[in-house]
Amino acid sequence: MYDELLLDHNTHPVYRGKLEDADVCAKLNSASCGDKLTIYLKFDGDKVIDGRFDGVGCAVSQASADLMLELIIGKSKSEIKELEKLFTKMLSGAKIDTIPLEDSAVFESFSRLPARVKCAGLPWKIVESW
Amino acid sequence: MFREKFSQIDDNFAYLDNAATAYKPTEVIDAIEKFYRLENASPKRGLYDASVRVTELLESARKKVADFIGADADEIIFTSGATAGLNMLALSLGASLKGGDSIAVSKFEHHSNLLPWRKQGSVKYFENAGGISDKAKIIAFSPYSNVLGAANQNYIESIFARAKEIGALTVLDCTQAVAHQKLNFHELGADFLVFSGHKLYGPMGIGVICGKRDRLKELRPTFWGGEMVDDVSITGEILAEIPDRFEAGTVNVAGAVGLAAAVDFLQANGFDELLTYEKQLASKLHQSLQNIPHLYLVEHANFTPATICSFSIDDVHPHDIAQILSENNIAVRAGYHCAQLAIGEPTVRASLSFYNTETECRHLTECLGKMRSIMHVR
Repeated sequence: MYDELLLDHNTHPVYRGKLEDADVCAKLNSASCGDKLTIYLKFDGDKVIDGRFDGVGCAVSQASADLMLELIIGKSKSEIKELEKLFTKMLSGAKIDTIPLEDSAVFESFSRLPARVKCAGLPWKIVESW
Repeated sequence: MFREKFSQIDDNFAYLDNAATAYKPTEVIDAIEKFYRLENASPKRGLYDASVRVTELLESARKKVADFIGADADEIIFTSGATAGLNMLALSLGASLKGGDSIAVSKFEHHSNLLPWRKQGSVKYFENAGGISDKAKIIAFSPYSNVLGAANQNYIESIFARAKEIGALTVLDCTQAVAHQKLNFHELGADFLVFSGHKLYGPMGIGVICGKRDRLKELRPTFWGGEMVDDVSITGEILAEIPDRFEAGTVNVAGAVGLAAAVDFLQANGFDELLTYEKQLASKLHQSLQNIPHLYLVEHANFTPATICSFSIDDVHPHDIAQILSENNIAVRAGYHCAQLAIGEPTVRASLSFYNTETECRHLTECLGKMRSIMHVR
């Protein structure tokens, strides 16, 4: 389960930090396990041009946030929504083509663990308000 | 030692989540199977032999459970579990509260002994007996926390003394205590205690409210239906005697029979010796855990950890620890353990039973010792 890629993004995240000039600052919580994330996004029109995350929680939620930002920076809201649908479908255990999810496909094996599905899916809740 | 009696036990898998639910000995499973294969009938009212026999089985189970916890049979109400029992008591006792009255709940409680009270009136939390208000009419606490372990005697005694001083009723959540301590209801002096069968090596879906006879007579039933009244007219009803008036509907006799089989098992195998063994095992585990760098045991001055080992490790989230342990064939629990006010932050909890071994505990401590390195935390 704990792939090197996941561990690496947990201990050495690329996008951990804050964006002072962010257009979106979303606080996401998982009540069951106490994971907390703040996702900062900067837009140019409809396109995400930069992002950061901050927070505390398990390796899965923190690595998932880092990998999500890696994936969505440079993409439009509608493209990100499609990716979120694909990510959620993957976590439901459905067989999908995971190539569009790039490194976020590392969470495919978590689909059989409902408690961890919530952790992996936490950063993706950002699209719920769009 | 008794491992062969538990068919789920596997030498390659360390089950250390006994505070959540315990394995069942063969005797319990056999008793339930026998009930459904050969004895099943509706208790209490049938006039045919099978029904009479099932009523005898139910009352025999009630007597065994009563003897096990030092109570009388008519002080035992069968419920579906501790949560149901605490909700029933909260609804019934809560209804008699008047303006200005409050309910004192210890801050160390499982949500089952907190939320039902909170829905009934003004709850004030206490950490020690001195924090219990004069206005408290009910004091709810546990003598054995599911995250902190066994409550110290002076903590318990001071709460009872305070209850006596202010004339408050005491309700004890003995869900953990019943499996890891010898309880004696009459000596304890509580007005009510509750527990679940499945943590006492019995089946799920059966539990107990034990109440002082005089208190039960004053208690209004929460559930209404068949088997709990002696007479029903257009205008009213006459309640059955205690404890039947609190067991509306068809009682879970199979569960009661299974619970009685668990009690028989514990007594036949020397409950005192089993408790001594698990206490010694827990003590060794605590010592080993204390030697692991960056591991912190969650403790409180009012409690002795006993069979409960709650801990955290620097820079590794409890859920990650639990999952890594699972990949190493060790079952523990991670999170708030339904006691968020007691601990504040999520932890890992390993909880022991007398069927656990030193080998299993060693496997746990070895894995925990490597945890930070597994997670690439330096």
